[in-house]
Amino acid sequence: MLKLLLATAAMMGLTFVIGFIVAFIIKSIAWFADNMDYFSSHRVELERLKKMKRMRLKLIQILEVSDNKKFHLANDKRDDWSRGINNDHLYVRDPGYYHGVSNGESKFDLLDYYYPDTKLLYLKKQSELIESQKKSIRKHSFKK
Amino acid sequence: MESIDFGVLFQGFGTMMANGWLLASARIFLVLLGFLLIYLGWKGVLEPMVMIPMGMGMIAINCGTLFMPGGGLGNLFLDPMLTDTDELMNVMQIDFLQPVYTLTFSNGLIACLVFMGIGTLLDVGFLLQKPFVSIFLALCAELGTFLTLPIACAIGLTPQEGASIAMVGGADGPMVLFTSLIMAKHLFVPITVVAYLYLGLTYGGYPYLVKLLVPKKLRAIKMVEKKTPKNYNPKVKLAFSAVLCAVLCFLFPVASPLFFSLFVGVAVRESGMKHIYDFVSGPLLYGSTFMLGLLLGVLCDAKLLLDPKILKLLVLGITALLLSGIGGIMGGYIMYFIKKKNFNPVIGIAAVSCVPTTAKVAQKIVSKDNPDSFILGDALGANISGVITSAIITGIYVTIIPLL
Repeated sequence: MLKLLLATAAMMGLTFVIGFIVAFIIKSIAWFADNMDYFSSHRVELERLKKMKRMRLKLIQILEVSDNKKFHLANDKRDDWSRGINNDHLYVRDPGYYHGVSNGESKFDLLDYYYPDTKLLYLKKQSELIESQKKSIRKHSFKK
Repeated sequence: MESIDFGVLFQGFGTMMANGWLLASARIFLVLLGFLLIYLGWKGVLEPMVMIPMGMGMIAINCGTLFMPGGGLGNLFLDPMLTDTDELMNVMQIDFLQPVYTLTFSNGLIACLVFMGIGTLLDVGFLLQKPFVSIFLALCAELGTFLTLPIACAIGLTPQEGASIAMVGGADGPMVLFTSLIMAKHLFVPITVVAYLYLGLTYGGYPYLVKLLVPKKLRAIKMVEKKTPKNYNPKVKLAFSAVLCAVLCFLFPVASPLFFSLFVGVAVRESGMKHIYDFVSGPLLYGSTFMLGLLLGVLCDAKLLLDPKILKLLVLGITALLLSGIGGIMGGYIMYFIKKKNFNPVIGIAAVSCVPTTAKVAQKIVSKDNPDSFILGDALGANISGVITSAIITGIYVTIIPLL
């Protein structure tokens, strides 16, 4: 009977050991699945980023292709539409003049275009100041 | 005209009168027991899928006894004790259930088919979430399977017979059938009948055991999950079934048909083979369960009750189930203290295998005391672990006991 009791206890112990080995295997499978899940989710994210980068490069390429500067032909002035249609095809006028507008540097600034009165006031004030300064110089010269 | 004897005309009565009051009383008792099983199955106290065909079989076999040409008593259902092949071939052409019995029951095929069907019911995701807790509870819930073995030997059974009846503590019918077929073939009919009778009782009896051992305050515990439960991909569950099948078959080749059947069921569930899943989880499982119930009922003839070992088997069967239930609840209490009171000890009862009955019992008891407490996930994890540990013990018993 004692032998049977011992054998039963041994079988119980063996069952616990195998049970926990099985639990460990199950936990390993779960752990492996979790890790695979983690890496696969990151892989998806990386692939998405790579795809976005590729698309961005493609977009840049497309934009560069559509830029007309790429198609700008040397000595062909017909394609410069920035100042309207050039009707001086015989080049009678000085170069750069279309419709009587110079392409040179403007002597006016924004203040002249949008606040012409302010400019005039400023110029008036400036001339007044110049006048008063001249007067004061003259006075000083008489005193001497 | 020759006078016809009443006993010869109505042989059901005739056989009762011819074989003395003891056999007649046993037959009447079994007929009444059959009616009771049908009633309890219909009421839902016992598992109707097994109990209703079993009750019908018990009634039919004990009423339908007749005088055989040789003068002895017999029936036209089956003869479980046939060993001679020539005789078996003759009987197979007469007894209508003999082919089903010989080709599916007595070789354990039906146990494997039921197990395959059970496999399709198992969502191993619950087990993957908490494997150590679930397996620990299941190991505790095998207390009856271990303690009944020395008790059985102490009251006069051999270790093989004791191990076969002790398997009732694992609360897994196919496992008991399989073990008794391998280890105590001469007793496998009464052991299987006793096992299934008692397994039917888990649904009605375990709630009382839980209420007796776990106070209401603890039954109502609502567990707080620190991590959100993870839903594992079917491919992980498929890998689980393949790996575990390989490991357990490697450890216990003797029980490999059972391991294979269980995990092939899990694999069918997870591999997305819809038509095969529908077949295994539907017609195969329910067909096998129905035939199993029917055969068990038909095997319950009066001679079974008059077997001198039946009383011992009845006592040992209930002892094994009771001890396993107590062991499961003890495991639940241990987890309750390990998890610092964030564990409902009722989950322990679900570790007594019997998929999915005990898990449903555990949830039902807890819901009654606290409708907000949901333990079914953890209970199913313990439940599935119970099946695995029962299979491990079957492997250990079948391998080691013959060496003692």
